[in-house]
Amino acid sequence: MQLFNRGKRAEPLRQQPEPRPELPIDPAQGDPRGERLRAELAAGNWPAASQLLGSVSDPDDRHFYIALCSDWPGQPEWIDQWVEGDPGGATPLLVRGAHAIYWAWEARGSARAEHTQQEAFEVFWQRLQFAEASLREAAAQAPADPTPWAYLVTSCRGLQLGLEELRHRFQQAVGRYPWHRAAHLQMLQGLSHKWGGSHLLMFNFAREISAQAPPGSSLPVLIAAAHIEHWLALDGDEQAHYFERPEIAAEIRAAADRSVRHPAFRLQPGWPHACNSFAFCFALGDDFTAARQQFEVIGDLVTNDPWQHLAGDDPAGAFLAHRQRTYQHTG
Amino acid sequence: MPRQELHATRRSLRSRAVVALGMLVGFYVLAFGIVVAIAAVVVWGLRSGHLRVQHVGLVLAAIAILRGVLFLDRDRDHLPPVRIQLRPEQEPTLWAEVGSVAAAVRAPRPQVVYLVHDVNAFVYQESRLLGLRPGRMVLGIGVGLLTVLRVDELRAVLAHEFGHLSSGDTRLGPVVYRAQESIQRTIVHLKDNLLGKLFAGYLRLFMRLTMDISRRQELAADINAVRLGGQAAATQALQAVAVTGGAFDLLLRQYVAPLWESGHWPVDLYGGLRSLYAEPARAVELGALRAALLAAPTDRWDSHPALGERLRFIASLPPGPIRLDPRPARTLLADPDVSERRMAEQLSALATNGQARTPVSWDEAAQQVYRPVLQQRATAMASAGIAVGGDWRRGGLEQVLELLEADRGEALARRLLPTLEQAPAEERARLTSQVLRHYLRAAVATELAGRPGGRWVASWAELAGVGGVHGAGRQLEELVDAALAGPQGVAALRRELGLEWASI
Repeated sequence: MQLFNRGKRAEPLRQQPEPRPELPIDPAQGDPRGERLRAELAAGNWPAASQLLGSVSDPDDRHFYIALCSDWPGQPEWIDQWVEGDPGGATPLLVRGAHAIYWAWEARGSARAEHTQQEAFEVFWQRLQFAEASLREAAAQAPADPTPWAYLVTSCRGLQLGLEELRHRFQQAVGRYPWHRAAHLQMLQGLSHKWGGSHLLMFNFAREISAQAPPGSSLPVLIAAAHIEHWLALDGDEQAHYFERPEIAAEIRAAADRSVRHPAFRLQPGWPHACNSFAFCFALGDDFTAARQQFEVIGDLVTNDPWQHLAGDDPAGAFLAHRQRTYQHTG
Repeated sequence: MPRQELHATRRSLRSRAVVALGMLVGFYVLAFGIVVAIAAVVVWGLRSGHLRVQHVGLVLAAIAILRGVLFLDRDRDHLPPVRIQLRPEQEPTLWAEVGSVAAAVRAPRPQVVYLVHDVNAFVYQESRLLGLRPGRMVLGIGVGLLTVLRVDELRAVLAHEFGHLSSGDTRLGPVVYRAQESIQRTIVHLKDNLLGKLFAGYLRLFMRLTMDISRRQELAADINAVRLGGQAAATQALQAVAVTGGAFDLLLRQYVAPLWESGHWPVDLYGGLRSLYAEPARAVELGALRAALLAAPTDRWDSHPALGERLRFIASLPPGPIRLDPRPARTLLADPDVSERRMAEQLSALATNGQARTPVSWDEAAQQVYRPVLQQRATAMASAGIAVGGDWRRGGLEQVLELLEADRGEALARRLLPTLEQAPAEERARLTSQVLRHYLRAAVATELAGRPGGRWVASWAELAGVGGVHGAGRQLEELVDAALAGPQGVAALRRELGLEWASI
């Protein structure tokens, strides 16, 4: 699940980065079907993409592949072609809606000189409204599909429709599939302080879900995600030593034990994101043994999130720096 | 006694007026003198061959001065932009009243009477030939005024205005006004150089003097108001006008502006003003406004003395006659409803450049325009309740009520009004209460409006109210107030909303 790269300014790394080889970030996170999907769409071959998506039944997988179709800069032609070529099909509507959300956030994050703050916000708003229309159509065409509702949780946050509406949409998503990974991650964002919620709310949610999730589920990553959000809101020394605090480190370790370190944890499409999140927390908390364990599992499958919080323009660089540091400390 | 007062005031006015005229002449002498001096310098420069670059600057300054002084605008009419002319044959009752007051004060009868939109009345004399020839006398009466005053109070106001006429204030007025404008334009054209500063200083002095004159004229006119209308009527009229002015501003800001912004206009704008003025829930707000106006001192740049000063002056005069006439002043109009509607339409057209085309009643305004505003507030309140309460599963209003019960209202208020943090300690309690009331009211109203039979209706206590369901109207205000006062109130509100919850 890709959380959106908001191009954060670089936070200082904890050690001087040494010259290192480039590490490309694979949006498909190592999933072969995902890579094929991206390749087909890069060539404009939406029918192949459609077929591939048609063969996916797991809701988390489906969301992952839809995200691969929609996280595309600008306005690729094949989106409208797909909608026209498959009239009434839920999937192209879903892709169009999901893409419009990504496209909206492009407008909001753009620091381009030709757009003022005000203009950027208006464009952001309009694109989100467009996204909602597409997503609702998709939901109408596929009433049992939780994916449109998971995306509607995201757009609800962007349009600032309030926490009750957020809950309503989240409940629509999980009502269709209780452990929907993306819906939960987006809900957590919506409950965060910076999006109009509060730390208390966010942590209550993360802890409740984490405790209830089946063993080996990736959902305890919500604990790591909540702590990362909290860490982002701090500054100075408090931020620098946040993950070292014993009670926080313990909570994150416990969450890892229930998810990525659990024997029942499955390497589903998009699995590296959870490991990257835990690796981030362990590395920043100087828990090198735990961090190393994650880095070994991850290999080179770095994800944008959460490393973009350390270096918005070079998340891979931040990842490499911390991996190197971890390996140094663990001999 | 009053006659002596009047004469003493008139004498001091006259001597000041003479000084003002002197300064006016002095300005023209100064201006032309400088222009002539500059011309001389330039001519000498040309003759002797010592023409320099600085001379160009001087020439430009001279041109600037001439532009300012000789601004040959036609004698513009300073007509109010929103007006309805009232002709004697169409409005005989009002004209008769105007005529009788003018006669009683021994002032010339105005030749033109306009109805204007605001809470004010004025007279002026149209100026011809740079103000030296008197033109027609014009009287303007604000609909906002007519809508709130009684006839006896209106008479006091008219007597005040005609007092200006009978003492010849309006003759001096246009001349002084033109002079001020002249000097101001000269300064603008000269901008920041030394000459500009010189004229600016001159202007300040001139303004001080003319404002002083103006204030004395106002007090003299107040004498007339008391002599004709009586002390009580004059006092009440002044206060009513001052406070209604504030109420009118509030009406335009809170109720009318959102309508204008969405292309609507209120057909019963002035009915709204009357209702707002009389609304018990607004009494505290308007009372505070009155107190502030009474306490404000007169500033030397004011053209009118402060309300407090005027009321004290009136109280020092002999009481005058008592001629009660409690009829609402608007009944002097042949058809007050029609006149008010026309005025509302004109004002709306002017304020929105013709964009406000859809007339609405106050109830329709509540349903179409204010409802989304209040719903937004309700959403914000619910979100605050969830964020502070921390339970993502339960409703926002439920958590708000719980927090109020646990005396955690301030945490809610800080969410809704982030600047509360920076407010001084004495202010914080009041602001907290205000913010909570503002949002809780909207939340409860939205909740009630969503019930069977519930509908949005006009309200003067707040932006909109709810009707058709139990707990709405006056009861809503009381429920909200009680909930903010303590846990028993919260319990009562809970019962009303059906949100009974065993608090832990």
